[in-house]
Amino acid sequence: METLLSKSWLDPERSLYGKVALVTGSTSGIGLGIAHALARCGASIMLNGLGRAEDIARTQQAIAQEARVTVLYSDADLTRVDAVGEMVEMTCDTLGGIDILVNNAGIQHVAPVDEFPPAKWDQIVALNLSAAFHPIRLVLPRMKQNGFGRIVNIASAHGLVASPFKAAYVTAKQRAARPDQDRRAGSRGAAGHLQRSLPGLRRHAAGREADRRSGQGSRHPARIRHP
Amino acid sequence: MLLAQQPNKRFATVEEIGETVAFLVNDAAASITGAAIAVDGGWTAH
Repeated sequence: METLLSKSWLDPERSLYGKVALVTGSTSGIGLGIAHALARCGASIMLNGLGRAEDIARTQQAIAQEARVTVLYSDADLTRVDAVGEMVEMTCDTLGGIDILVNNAGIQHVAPVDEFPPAKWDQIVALNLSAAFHPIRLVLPRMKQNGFGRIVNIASAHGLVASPFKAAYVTAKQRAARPDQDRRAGSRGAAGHLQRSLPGLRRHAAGREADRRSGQGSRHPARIRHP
Repeated sequence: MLLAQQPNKRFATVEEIGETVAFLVNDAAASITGAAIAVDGGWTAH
């Protein structure tokens, strides 16, 4: 009998061989960790995110060499709907489709609600919430057509539990952690999965900066790495 | 202090979150769908 162990998702089986994964916000941090893990399973990777061109080129090369897969990069600004569309098109054109979508990109800003900059609110909602919707909207028809698709949205422990000075982040993440009532109706009949993962406390430079600014009164420290 | 409320008393690593996602997208997790998976060392449950 074939057991789960005999078809492990870990390396030697290269269980995602031939699949294409688009991982947003994957030039560093959690997104990069996800890109590495999927590449080790044999998936081709489309990276996306911020960073210096030479650093990103090195990251591409490192993953490609380690996992022996194709690794490309899109510099799409996910707060722009048309840029998301271009990224999806570019991924399909260069890698042959999108089998796995991981919505991971996100940002944080800490300030009391009455001092929260409106532009920062808009940016966080655009990136931490809407930027997950647009790629899903664009890849679902292809996944239905192919009869295969995996979608993972990276939320946050803040998708479940709030903390002070993070009004925009917590609002976007609470919504991002519970989108499926909406989406299930729209994706019925698709073979795709809608899954979410809620990373918790993790040490990260952005988190430390957020900690510093949110002060010591924070019951839940800002070690919640986006997104 | 920061980890006082986290049962496993340590921060998760990017590798751990990456491998969780790798599991979720594999056939081994085919029946996990529409679920929110906490990768937080028990922080939200605590």
